[in-house]
Amino acid sequence: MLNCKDMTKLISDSLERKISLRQRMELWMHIMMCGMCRRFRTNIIALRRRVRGARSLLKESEIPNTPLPPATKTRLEEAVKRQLG
Amino acid sequence: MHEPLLKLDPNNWVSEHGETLYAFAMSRLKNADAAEDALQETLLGALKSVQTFPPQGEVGPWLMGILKNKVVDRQRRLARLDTVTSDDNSVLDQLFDQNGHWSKAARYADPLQLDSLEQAEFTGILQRCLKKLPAKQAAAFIGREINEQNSENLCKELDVSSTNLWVLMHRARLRLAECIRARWAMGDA
Repeated sequence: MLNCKDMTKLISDSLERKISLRQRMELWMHIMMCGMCRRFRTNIIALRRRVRGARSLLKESEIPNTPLPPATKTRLEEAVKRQLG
Repeated sequence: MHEPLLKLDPNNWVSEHGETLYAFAMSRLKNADAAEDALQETLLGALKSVQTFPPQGEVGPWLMGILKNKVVDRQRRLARLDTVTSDDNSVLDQLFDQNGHWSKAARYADPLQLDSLEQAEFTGILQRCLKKLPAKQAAAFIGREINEQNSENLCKELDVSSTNLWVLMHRARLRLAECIRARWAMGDA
């Protein structure tokens, strides 16, 4: 019998890979009886759904428009020139 | 200067491709010094390995390919400093007791209602919570859930086994759910 901490791992794993039939049965038995693990499962499924829904927003802010700073540009150009000799 | 190198016009690499390369490096490394180092390594590496330039190739994608390798190298080096088990037990200890049951604090906390958050609120809170995760957990979560990378590639990039990736995902989810819940309960949006 898995405790709740291990059960949250199995619940998370079930979003990453196919878990075995035996594991699936244990998971369902557990969350039928355990409100907290049921809530955890609902939460991480909702988290996945919300993240997917916000993906374009998140991606855009993930890759902020970071222009090449002029000083960096100069240093890089000089590095190339030095290397070319 | 070698003839093939001359055709590639290296003196204009920075002005022609610098912006794109820099934006990519920043998006992955999130640090101006690290991005500049990666770019410099890329440019100098490219000059030394002109023979790897594909005959019908274009300079931009070729440089980007070199940069990607440099970025992965760097991420691996960073990842080694932040190993899978370097814990983060504090959050797990708050959520579970010694027997692995949900703690009293967790059971009495206001339950998280993700669907009650508006898109902009959710995105803002999630970004703040992602910043608080250990780097490797954040990289795993962002790779899988935001960038939709397949596990195999992500494992290579993070230099972990798939079992380790699942551990990282589990920890990231526990911590994110708790962080979002706490911020939402405080009315932080």
